Amino acid sequence: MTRKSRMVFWLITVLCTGAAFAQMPISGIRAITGPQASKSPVAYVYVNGSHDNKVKICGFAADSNGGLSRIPGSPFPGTVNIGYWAGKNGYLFGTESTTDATYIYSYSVSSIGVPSKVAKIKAAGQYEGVSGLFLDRTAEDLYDYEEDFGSNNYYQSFGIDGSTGRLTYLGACNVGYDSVPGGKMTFAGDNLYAYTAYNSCYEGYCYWGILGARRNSRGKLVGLNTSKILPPTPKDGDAYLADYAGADPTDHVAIAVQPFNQFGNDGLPQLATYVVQSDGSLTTESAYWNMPTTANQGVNDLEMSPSGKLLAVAGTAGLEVFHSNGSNPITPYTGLLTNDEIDQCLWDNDNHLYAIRSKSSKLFVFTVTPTSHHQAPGSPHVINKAGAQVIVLPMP
Amino acid sequence: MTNRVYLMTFLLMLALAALAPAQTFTVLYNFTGGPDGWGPYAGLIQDPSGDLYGTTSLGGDSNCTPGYGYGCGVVFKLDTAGTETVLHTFSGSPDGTNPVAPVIRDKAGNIYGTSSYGGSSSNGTVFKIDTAGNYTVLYSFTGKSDGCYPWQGLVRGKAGDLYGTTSSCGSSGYGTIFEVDSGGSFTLLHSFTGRSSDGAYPYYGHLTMDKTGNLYGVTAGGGASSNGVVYELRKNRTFRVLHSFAGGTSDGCAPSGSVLQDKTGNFYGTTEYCGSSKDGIIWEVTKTGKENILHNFAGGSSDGCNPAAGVTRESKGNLYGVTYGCGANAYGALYELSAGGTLSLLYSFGGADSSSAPIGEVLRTAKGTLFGTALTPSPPCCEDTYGTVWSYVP
Repeated sequence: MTRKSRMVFWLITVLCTGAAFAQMPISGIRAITGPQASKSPVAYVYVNGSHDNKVKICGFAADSNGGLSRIPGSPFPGTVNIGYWAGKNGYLFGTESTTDATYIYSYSVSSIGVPSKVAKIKAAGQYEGVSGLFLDRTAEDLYDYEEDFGSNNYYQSFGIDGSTGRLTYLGACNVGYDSVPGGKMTFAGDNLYAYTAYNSCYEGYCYWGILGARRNSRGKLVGLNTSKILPPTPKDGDAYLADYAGADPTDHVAIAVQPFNQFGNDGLPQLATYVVQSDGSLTTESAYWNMPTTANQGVNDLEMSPSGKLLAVAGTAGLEVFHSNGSNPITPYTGLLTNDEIDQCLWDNDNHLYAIRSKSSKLFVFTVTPTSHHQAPGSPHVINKAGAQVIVLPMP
Repeated sequence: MTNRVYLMTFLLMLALAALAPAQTFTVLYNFTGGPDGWGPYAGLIQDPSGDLYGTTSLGGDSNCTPGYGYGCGVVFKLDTAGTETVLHTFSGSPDGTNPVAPVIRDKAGNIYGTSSYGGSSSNGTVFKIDTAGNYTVLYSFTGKSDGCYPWQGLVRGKAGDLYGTTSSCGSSGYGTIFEVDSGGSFTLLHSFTGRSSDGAYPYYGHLTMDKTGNLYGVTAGGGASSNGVVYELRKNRTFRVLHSFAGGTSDGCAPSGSVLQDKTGNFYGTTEYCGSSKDGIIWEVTKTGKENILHNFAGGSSDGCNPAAGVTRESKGNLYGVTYGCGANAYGALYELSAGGTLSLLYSFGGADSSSAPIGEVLRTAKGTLFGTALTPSPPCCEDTYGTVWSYVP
């Protein structure tokens, strides 16, 4: 590139950036221009936002301090629900919109974080549509959850072509009545078993518990009928309703449980610890007296950090992080990091915790290690009509 | 032995049986689930005239919010003739809902208690009912550093200040110990941290205060093994764990209910789980913190299991209490543990009397009569009962 053409490139970049900023109010976000561009991002972060009354992908580069810079060209067309890096390529996966979730689209992510649609697969036909996407630990396979608002809820499995992003349908796993909050499952450390919590009421009967699945040699999820006992409650007649699950890299699964009875919730949610056995069954020493309570009346999301030492809980009262201690009881750590209700949160690989609140269009970033925590510079960031989900692509 | 001797022996035994006092279990009151109340978790207190006072967690006003049509609970009085009077019907916010703790009564006849939910921010209240029946919320918990969801009742100090606990919230989410004065001014005395040198989650019963104003209680969690503690909060606000329950089969875990202190300063209580049969224990802890397990509940039909209430002690050292599980009908038992360490089941809940699952601590009068509540109806035979008040005459 000659000196003149470089100048033209920068002019176009700056002009485009300015135009995008004018159309889409974002506070606290830098554009990747000038000196900031030289900072190596530790992750790319994507949020669905509104632009010209259309849902688009807002993309940001996160630096080592948790500061966010807008990716050139953002917002991008499309919507995203999940993302991952594979080899030199990064991929995002998403449905086209929140109202028509028939197809899952694959987006290839460039080295500077720009997503481009590269493939699609019809995921929903016989079922109601994609309502949750998640990956296994090695990101070889993609899974979606489809709720049929009746007796047939399904997990579908897709193999991912790491060089093209194309998806291959592997099969479906019927989980019956079980309605899964958020749809996603969490894979235990060996990547063989996956778990989630379920609860639903159908024709006057309520079902709740822990749902397990095994990932077969082809990557397909198959049902796992093993013991998954819920802890005893403090009040006779109550039961624990399981809400969300998060696994660490060494076969421990944290599950949010909340006491309830026929009159409704009967206490704050608590955090149980389970150990994955060789046959996939879960055992626990958790009981009402050794599980910490969350400050959230209702849990909206639960995410284990990559190290497995920290557990983030997002909910109605805000965001809090606990120490996760393997098979020992989880213990309180940060208290509420924000008092804004949080819809969803995700970790990158550099101790950053991203949390989204759709109603107030805020994206929070915190730096949290087992011994310190603080809000990242510029956080919270205001994004026009932000969606309820944040996607994080950590650098490989 | 001749036939005549057999006959004489038989007649003598008959005569002795006739002379022995009758052991009588009586249901004094059946809650109807309507305005009179439904589901008593708490134990009872008695005034000098013999009237009993307690709470139900449901029933009362079926239109209260958020009562879900089941009511938000009541404070009741039951006179010696078995007539129930509702002293207060909880209405939700800002009043209070779902009391699960016993009330206390001062010499003037004012009644004090806690509601586990409701109040101005739905995190529970401390309330007073004066002798004229006027109900006042003395304090509404905010669910922050002050705590939330008080599941235990109150103890009243010499100056009239009230002391209690919350089961959750506080700085670490594990509950608090608080003081509320007669004007409703709140003071945080301790926030449970759940750590090895602290407790977590106080449930059921009430605090115990000694003559010098030190407070004693149990928490279901916290301590060295996360299996609960017996603690002391001195008047100068120094907190000390007297005993950390080890759990497993060698010790109890998850103690709840009230702590009882005898004249020599030893403490008594129960754990809901663990012990040799994992069904809970009756424990004694000395002032120096040494534990002596008085009984390991074995469960099954000949013993109780899962006590949530603590114990009552009479002057000879016999202990009385209830379990909400096991016994002959599998729905709980009333027991006596003699000073010598022998446990006898006095009564098994879940029979034809429509009482089961006693949670609250037993009240023992000077004459030896035992009073208590049972939370739920017996098995499916008795779905039209909503808890009982009962008495047992040894």
